[in-house]
Amino acid sequence: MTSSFLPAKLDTMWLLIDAPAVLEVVGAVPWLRLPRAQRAVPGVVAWRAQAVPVVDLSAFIPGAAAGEARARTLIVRVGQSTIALPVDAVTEVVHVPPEAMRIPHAVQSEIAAGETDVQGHLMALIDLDALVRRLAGEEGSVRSDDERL
Amino acid sequence: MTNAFDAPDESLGCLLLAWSGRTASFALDAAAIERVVDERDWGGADVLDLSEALDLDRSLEPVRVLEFRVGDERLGLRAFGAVRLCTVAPGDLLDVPPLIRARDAGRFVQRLAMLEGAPALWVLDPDAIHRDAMARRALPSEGVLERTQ
Repeated sequence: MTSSFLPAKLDTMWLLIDAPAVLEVVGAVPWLRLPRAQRAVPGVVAWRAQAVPVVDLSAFIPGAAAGEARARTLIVRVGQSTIALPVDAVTEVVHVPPEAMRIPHAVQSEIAAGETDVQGHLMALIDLDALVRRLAGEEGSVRSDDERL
Repeated sequence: MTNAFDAPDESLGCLLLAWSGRTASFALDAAAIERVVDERDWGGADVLDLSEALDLDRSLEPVRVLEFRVGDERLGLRAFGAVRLCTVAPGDLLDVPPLIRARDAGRFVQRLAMLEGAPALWVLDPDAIHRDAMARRALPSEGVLERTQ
């Protein structure tokens, strides 16, 4: 049985986001910075009368440049949490059979659950549950501006 | 006892007293504020200073003390630079999600105020400020630590 993913570009990297978890794809949205916040959660956006934490995926992906001002924002539901993921671009949803997913090598990150080739690009599958667990402090710590995983 | 900023009609919105920091702006519900005085005229207990946590600019003048009440206790919070009153529609006050409140300066914020359709102000939580002040008072002073070494 295939799974559906939304390909999203972060800098030069392509990521796969579980498509059913994506509530909406919006453009660049104004957000409010939290003073002295960790790079992973720099602030919030307002979405449908909710304050939604901005999660900078680059804080978890070595080699990705920090930057919350990106052209697209994915509003994603993970368990009881709603988070906003700024990305540079998205494409149409893709369907990937399980046998096409490999152990991640290109992106060495604790939130990468696999990788596969889609549309000529190597794409890393993001484990949204692991991401939220890390944000909630249940698994290690996230890096600040000058730390590396 | 009446506060210094009684709103004429709550249906018109929430009246906030706001001031700016280096990276974000903050507010307290004006209904919680008893008075605003120049720091030189403050005759109460130690003034709370959140300039480090909230990244406030301590060089700004004037320095005022916002007196607010939590339970039976009156507290003074230092604010640097201009303070202003603003009215925010009830629908433009959004609860801050736990993911934000669990970390960094987020522990002091309660709501997010939207102004002109964009997130603009962090509305501080008087109870959280009070809890932080109580925790600080409970800590032994540096002198005590030195004497015990």
